[in-house]
Amino acid sequence: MERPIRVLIIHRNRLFREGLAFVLAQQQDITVVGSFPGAGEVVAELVRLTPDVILLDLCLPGREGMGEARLIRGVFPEVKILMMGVSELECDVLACAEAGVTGCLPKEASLEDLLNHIQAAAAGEALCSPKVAGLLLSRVAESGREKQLRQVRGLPNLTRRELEIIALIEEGLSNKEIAIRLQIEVQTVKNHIHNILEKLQLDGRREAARFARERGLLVSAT
Amino acid sequence: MKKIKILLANRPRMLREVVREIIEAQPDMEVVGEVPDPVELLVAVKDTVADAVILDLEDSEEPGLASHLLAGYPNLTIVGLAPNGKTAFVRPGRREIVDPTGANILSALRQASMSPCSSEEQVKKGESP
Repeated sequence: MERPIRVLIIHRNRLFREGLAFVLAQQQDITVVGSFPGAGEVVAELVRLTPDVILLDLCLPGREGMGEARLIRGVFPEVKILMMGVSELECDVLACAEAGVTGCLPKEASLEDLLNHIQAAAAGEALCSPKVAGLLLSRVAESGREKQLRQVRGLPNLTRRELEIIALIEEGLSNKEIAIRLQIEVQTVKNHIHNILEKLQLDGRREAARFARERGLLVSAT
Repeated sequence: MKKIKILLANRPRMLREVVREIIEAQPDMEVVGEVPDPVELLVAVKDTVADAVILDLEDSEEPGLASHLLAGYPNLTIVGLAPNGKTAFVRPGRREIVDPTGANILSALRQASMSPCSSEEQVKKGESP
């Protein structure tokens, strides 16, 4: 018999945490290894708890769920993260994908949906609605076209996110303001800018923005 | 053994289902209905003859809904779950804040069920609207 799926719950709602742990404990193929109100306490325990799947609530104050997903993935890249309470808006879906989330569940998902997602995630698979699948496939196709276009034009291979950030630099936004606008961490913005400057072989963010504008890169990014 | 009849009207769906699982594991309680939309709550309370309702605190504070529930069923136990997930309150007759643990809510439902007149008995007496 395969060993049970080790599940960790991170959710601010105490009643939900308790109740979900109660429900999951009744499943023969699932073991709840821990339950926490936030990820800050979890990261230090990950090596000891060794979860296979983490259930993480997106709807935390200041949308911390996304940042916590990145934090966890940075420390424990093998763990599968299921984000709960995600809308099917393109920005939310893409933000989850970029944060390395394995699967997303909408606010009105059922317990049965959750159980199916846990089993799929543990098996290395992802369940998503046709709409979300369409969004992700469109974005991949668009990225492919942009990459091909840049190669034809002899332009540096900047990603869509990098072009978004350059455009916001040109608008005069600080790193913190960019982070807020794109709903990502400040450190993530800094990482992107570092990569941009390396690709363009430039020293400063303003130079990068000017470079991109002069070569018509920003027109396609906005 | 007479079971405490509980109507679930809290959101979102997964929390409502989790609460249902907790309640249905109790030998002295049963879920008599689920109401995804609080607009349907008043009809559901009458149809199911519930002893208690669990709903979101913001819905229970809504003047029309709360006044109708209390006017029709003054001994109905109402458990309101706060949106921040940190508190729940229970009545009849009083506003009591409890930590929203499963144990506290179950305990409060049992204590409230010892009230003299449940909604079922009110209906039998012809006291419902």
